[in-house]
Amino acid sequence: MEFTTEHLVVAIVLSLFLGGIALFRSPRTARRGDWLNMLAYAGAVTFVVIRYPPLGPEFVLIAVIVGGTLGAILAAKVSMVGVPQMIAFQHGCGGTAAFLIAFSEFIRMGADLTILAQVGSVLGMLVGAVTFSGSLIAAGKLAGKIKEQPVFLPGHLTILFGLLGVMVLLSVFAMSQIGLPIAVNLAIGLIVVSAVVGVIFTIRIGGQICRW
Amino acid sequence: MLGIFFAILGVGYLLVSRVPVLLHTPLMSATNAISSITILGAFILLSKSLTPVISALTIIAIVAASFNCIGGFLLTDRMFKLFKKR
Repeated sequence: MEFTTEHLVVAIVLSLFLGGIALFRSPRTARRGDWLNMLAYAGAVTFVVIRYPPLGPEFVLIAVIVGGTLGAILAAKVSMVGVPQMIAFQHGCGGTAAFLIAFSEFIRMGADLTILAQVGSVLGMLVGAVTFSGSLIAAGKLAGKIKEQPVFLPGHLTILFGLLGVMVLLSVFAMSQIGLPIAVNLAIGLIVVSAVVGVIFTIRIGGQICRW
Repeated sequence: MLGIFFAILGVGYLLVSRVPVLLHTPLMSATNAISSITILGAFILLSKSLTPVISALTIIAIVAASFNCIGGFLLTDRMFKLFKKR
C-alpha cells in the first residue's frame, strides 16, 4: 500500500485524540486532554477543507457559524444541573448530522459505492437515527420534560426485536436496490424505523439511569 | 481499514477503562464532541457537485455537527474550570 499524506494526517489526528483521552486519566491533566482533542479536531477539519475545497464556501461558513454560535451560547448558559441533558441534546444533534451525511452519500454515489462504503453508509443512517431519537428522549427525561418513569409497552421486547429485524431487512433491500429510485425510499424507511427503535429503546429506561 | 478500526477499538477501550469515576461526565462530554467528527464527511460531500436537496441536507448536517462540536468542547472545558475552583 502506498503511503500518502492522508495516511500521515490520519495517524497524527488519531494519536492526538488517543493522547487527549489518555490525559483524562488524571483530573490534573484532563483539561489539557480536552484542548488536545480540540486541536486534533481543528487539524482534521483544516486538512479536509484544504484538500476538498467546498464549492459554496459562503454556505459552509454560515452553517458553521450558526451551529457553532448556538452551541457556544447554550454551553455557556446551561446551569451545571442542566449539563447531562445538554450533553444528551448535543449528542442527538451529532446523530442527526451522521444520518444526514450517510443518507446523502448513499443517494449521491448510488451503485458507485464500494461494498464496504455501502455497509458504512447504511450503518451511518441506522446508528445516526437511533442516536438522534434516543438521545432526544434521554435529554427530555433528564430535563423532566418527559415523564422520568420507565414506560413499558405491551410486548415491549417483541416490538423492539421485531423492529430490529425490519431494520436488517430494510438495510439489505436498500443495498440490493442501490442506484435505483426505490433505494431512496428504502433508505428513508430505514431512517424512520431506526428513529422509532431509538424511542422504543429509551422510553423503558428511567431518568435516573440516563444520568448514570 | 477494518484492522485499524479494531485496533483503535481496543486502544480506546483500554484508555477509557482507566478514567477515574470523577471524570466520567467530562469524558462523556468530550467523546460526545469528538463524535461530531462526522462533519468531515459533510465537508467532503460539499466539495462535489450535488443536487439542491442533498446540498440542503448536508448544510443542515454541518449546522448540527458544529453545534455538537463547539458546544461539546466548551461544556467540557466549563466542567474543568469548576474542578479547578474546588
